[in-house]
Amino acid sequence: MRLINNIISVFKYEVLEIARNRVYLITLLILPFATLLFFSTMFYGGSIENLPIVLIDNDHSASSRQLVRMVNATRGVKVKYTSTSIIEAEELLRRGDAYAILLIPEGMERDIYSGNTSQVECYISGTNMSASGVIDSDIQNSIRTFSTGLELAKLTSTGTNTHTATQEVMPINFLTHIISNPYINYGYYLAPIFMFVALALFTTLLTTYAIGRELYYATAQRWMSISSNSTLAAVIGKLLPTTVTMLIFAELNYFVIFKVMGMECAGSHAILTIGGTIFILAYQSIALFITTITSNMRLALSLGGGYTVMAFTFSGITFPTMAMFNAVRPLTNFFPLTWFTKLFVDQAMRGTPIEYSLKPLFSLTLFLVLPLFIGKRLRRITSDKQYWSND
Amino acid sequence: MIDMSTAINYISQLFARFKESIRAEFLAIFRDKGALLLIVIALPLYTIIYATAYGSEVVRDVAIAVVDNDKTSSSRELIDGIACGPNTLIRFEPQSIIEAQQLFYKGLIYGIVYIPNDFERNLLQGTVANIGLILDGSHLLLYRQVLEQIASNTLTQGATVELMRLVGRGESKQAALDTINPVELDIHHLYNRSLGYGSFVMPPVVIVIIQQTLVIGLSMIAARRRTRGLNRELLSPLNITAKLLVYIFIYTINLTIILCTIWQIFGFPFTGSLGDIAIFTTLYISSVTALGLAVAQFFKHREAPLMLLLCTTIPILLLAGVSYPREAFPSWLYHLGRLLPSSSGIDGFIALASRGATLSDVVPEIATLIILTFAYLLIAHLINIRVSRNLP
Repeated sequence: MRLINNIISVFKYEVLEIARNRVYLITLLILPFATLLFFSTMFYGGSIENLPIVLIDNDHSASSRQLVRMVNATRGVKVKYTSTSIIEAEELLRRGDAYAILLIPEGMERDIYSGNTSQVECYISGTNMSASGVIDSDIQNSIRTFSTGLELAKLTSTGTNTHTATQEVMPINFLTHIISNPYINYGYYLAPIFMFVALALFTTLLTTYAIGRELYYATAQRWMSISSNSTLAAVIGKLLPTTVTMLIFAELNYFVIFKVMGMECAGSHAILTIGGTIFILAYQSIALFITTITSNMRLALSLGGGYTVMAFTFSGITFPTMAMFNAVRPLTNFFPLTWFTKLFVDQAMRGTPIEYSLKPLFSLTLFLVLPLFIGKRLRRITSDKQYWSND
Repeated sequence: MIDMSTAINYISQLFARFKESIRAEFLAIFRDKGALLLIVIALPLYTIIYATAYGSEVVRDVAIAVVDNDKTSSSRELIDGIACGPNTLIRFEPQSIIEAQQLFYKGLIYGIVYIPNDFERNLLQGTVANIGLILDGSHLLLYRQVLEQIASNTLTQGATVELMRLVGRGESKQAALDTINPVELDIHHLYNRSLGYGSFVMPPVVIVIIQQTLVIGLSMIAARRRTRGLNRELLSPLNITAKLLVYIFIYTINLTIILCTIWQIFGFPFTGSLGDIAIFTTLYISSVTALGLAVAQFFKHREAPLMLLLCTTIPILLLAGVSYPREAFPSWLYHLGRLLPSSSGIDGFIALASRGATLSDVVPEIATLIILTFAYLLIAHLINIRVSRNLP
């Protein structure tokens, strides 16, 4: 009971501090809201469409125009420029105005009618991979469709009936079924993780700031006296405002993802809420650990901040962890975000049975053990003046 | 004569003040450990860390499972074809779809190929043989690798079957080939031939790190002066020039080291002319310094820049419209992003260093950077005057 009273006193003290401190208030309430707004605006559409390409049509025939129409009919690619020379077209690519060049050779239509194969060339700029992947598959699909159409026409013209001809041109057909994210929405794939990286960052910074400020401004004694010198109460009371606010933001993230952006939650929302909670607590534990070990707020902010932003890379959401160097792959486990990403993908996107999500949940929980190692040092740095420095 | 000596005197005084400004700026950096860490150490350090994460470049051998209910030589041929492909690796051949699903939930595989038991019979009868392809859209890079591999194998085998049928009906092999492929597509990847992920993502990351470390570092230095009770620094043209030179110097050295070591070790693309790249990055660092000086006017406490600016890193990277293409998000956001030096910096740097463009190709980016430099210096100057007046 005394512990709870002490926690409440520190909590009240911290809330007052927050209300008085503009930086604290902005980081706690305004920035998380602003970043959530940013990411949801950025990824609301979620599809990569109308990537500009350059067309060099050396054939100028009905067939080449037909081919261009089919390319333009794809979702991802749009012929924005036409050019007569490859040099001029490559300049557009180099400048970054277009992503690819589609080159239709002279005599394509003649070749088609005389029954020879003709070769369409496509040059794709590889410096933007999310764009080049879309262009690659859209162009391939449209040329394949065009080519198959010609083949079909040829077969039917030689007397094969349409039904047989259709079977002829495609002896093996593959039926694709996409389990998660069926419309290949880039927003569903990227936005949630961006939103939770932002929360992790704010959690880390706020936790470091809450503890570190007492050392930085040499006010640790006052803080400890409010908690009646109970380190446990002092820490819990101090971190609670951040915990509560970030948990609310975590739920707000889910609300935006599932209700505003319209992603369908395939698994258990309850598990996601539990996971989100442990995720926030994990980053608080890490921040508390770093702040206590370094006993230097600004250094801890740099280290904790860098570590949290870096997690995005190491979580494998952009470049998969399975493809990283063997020596790097084990390191990815030391970021709570990696486990949270697994959990989110399993529960929100794949609808994985709950028993498979126990491992990521358990791994996230392991980070909560960190504060147990630093209790002694925390007591020392909050009572010994030599750790209070304004540097 | 007298005029001449006053002029010389004046110039030498100016020069002395200029030297003093440069010395003061270096001291300001080296006295503040936080700023030193950010401005001098962070860029090479983060570049190494990110390069090791993205350095393996390509995604190969994505694990998949094949459920073969046909168990015939035709189905075997298809499976063997897929097994030879570089993108996927058949890690499991479970007996049923249910079993494959368990493997998928365990995170062991990223796709399932299902071959039904009428596969060969349909092929031999001349009807369409269907196969099922179950894909995971939760990671789009893996999704593309699996889809591409299976699609290409299926189409190749399909074409072989078709060819054999046509030849069997008495067509010559060449005629049959021409029938099957009236139009062929040849795809060439330029500038990043192996489609390496690091080659694509590292240039923008480095450009953003330059901006973030410099802006936060400059804000820290400015805040330090204020917490020490020193007068707010007046931004004279001389002082500004000195600052520009100092930061161009530090960042050019760091960038040179990075491009000469990390870029070479990991084989990231570097094709442009060295002189062009040097000129462009100088302009970029200048405009970032200007932005930093403007932003720095707002901070009173040294911890505040990190707290408030670190969260802008990922949005700034996204706004450039490279890691996520600009065609995919609202264009007003994209245009808003042009107000940041990083957006033009990324476009220009990739064009020059990765695509081998010349300065004349990146005129719009250069113009934007020069305009931004003067605009942010003006803003910094105006706020500086206003706030200085309010000081006691």
